[in-house]
Amino acid sequence: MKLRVGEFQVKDVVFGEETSFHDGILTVNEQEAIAALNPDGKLKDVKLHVARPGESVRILPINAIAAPRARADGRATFPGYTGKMASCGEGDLYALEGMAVISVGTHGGWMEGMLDMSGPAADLTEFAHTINLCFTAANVDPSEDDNSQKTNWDYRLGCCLLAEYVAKTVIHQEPDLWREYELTDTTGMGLPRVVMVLEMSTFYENSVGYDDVFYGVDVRCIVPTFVHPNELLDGALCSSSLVCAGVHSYTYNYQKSLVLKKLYEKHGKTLDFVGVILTNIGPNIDNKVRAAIRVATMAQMLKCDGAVYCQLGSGTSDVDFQKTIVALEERGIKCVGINPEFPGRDGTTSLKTALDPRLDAVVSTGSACEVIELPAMERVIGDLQSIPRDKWPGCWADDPIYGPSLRADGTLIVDTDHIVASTESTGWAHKTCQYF
Amino acid sequence: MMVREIEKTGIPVVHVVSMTPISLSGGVNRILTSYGIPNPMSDPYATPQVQERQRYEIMEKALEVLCTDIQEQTVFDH
Repeated sequence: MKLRVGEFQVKDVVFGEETSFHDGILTVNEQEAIAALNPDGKLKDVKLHVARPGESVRILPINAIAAPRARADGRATFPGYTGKMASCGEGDLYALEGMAVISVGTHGGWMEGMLDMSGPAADLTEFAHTINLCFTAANVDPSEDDNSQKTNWDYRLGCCLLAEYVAKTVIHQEPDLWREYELTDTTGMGLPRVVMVLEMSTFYENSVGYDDVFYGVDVRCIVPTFVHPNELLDGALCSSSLVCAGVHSYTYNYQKSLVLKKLYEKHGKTLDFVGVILTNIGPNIDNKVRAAIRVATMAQMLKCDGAVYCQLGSGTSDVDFQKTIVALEERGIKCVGINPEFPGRDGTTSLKTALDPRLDAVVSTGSACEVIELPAMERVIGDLQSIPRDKWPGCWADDPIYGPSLRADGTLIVDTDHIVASTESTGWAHKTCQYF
Repeated sequence: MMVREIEKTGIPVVHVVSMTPISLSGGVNRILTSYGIPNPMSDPYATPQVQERQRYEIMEKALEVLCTDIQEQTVFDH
């Protein structure tokens, strides 16, 4: 299975008559793009915006982020989701690099987040360093906005549809470079066999529409499954509506996982990259124990020597993290975990809710509880008033110590968990560690 | 944490919980496995009549665990 990704470096995104790509400039026809992202008319007041790195722009509440990609052979970028069911992970994929597509709603909730294109928050996230084609919209059906837990279904699908629409314009053009992804034969090389274990959001067992989407299907009741890394690079997995912004792995993060790419880079050199096991975050203990058993059994059958486990979020998923790593280690498979920390604002809270001495190799993507002060921005894409009005992670209407998150002059005080993908664990956290 | 603070005052507590590893890490003594995080006292897939019985039974079981003498952290199944 060989995937070729043709990368086009985007220097700017502008609006114009015809959607096209020349000399690094992506021109977008607004009406066509809006029609593409909102095929069923379930969103209203849809508007497009561009935010560039370094600009004084604040974007919120963000509910989905995707990387623009398209295929020349007519298959959907996200099979079973933005189009018909099809295979993915092989053939040619056309990719716009240096940019992201972001959807912005009207109400903050459980999974919404914020992004500043400049200032201190810009250092915390990859998406302050991409040119962002954003759309703002409102749900036609206001009941969609009633709860703090929302499916954001039409925004999430719209984001993927817009990403597919803009990328289609480069099909048949010659990219800046082709990258090839293939698990080449390593027979006889004696390299340690390593599998990537990726936690998906599978928490909302009782209702459809909240969890991650795999080949178009909601994964809420999934039992862990084994996939080719190319399938992840090629749109098989799209992101959920359930995870706090700071620790959220967006569709973009899955499509371009840096942990996955690093394992690929080392394949045939220092290790034998076996593939990816997608696993659960269960809503009950049986689900978690079952997932741990299934992951460990699959890894053993695949003759793995090591595993890299990317945890999604914290709290309940700490139990999946603990159970699965222990199950792997018990079968002689060495495991490294990658995860965010929630040490509390004073840094004294236990980092994990469930511990075990066999969790002895863990990479931290940083604390999601740091309180940061942010300057006012000249332009807001979305709605700044959602901060005091709505209940969403990392910000508050008022606080006895910190006061309100949003002040009259437009400055903010928020937790870093408010900033999109700032401590996510598939390789995108902008942090380094230092001993003192 | 709440369970431990209450027990410090001399009142024994049963923690009815789905995430038993968290309870064990947190130092809880009497742990009773529940149905799920969003639905601790019953199975949301069951009929309302069955759910009512499950709630009654798990509460009865909790009272029984409360009166059970233990020597170390113990997980009871409902």
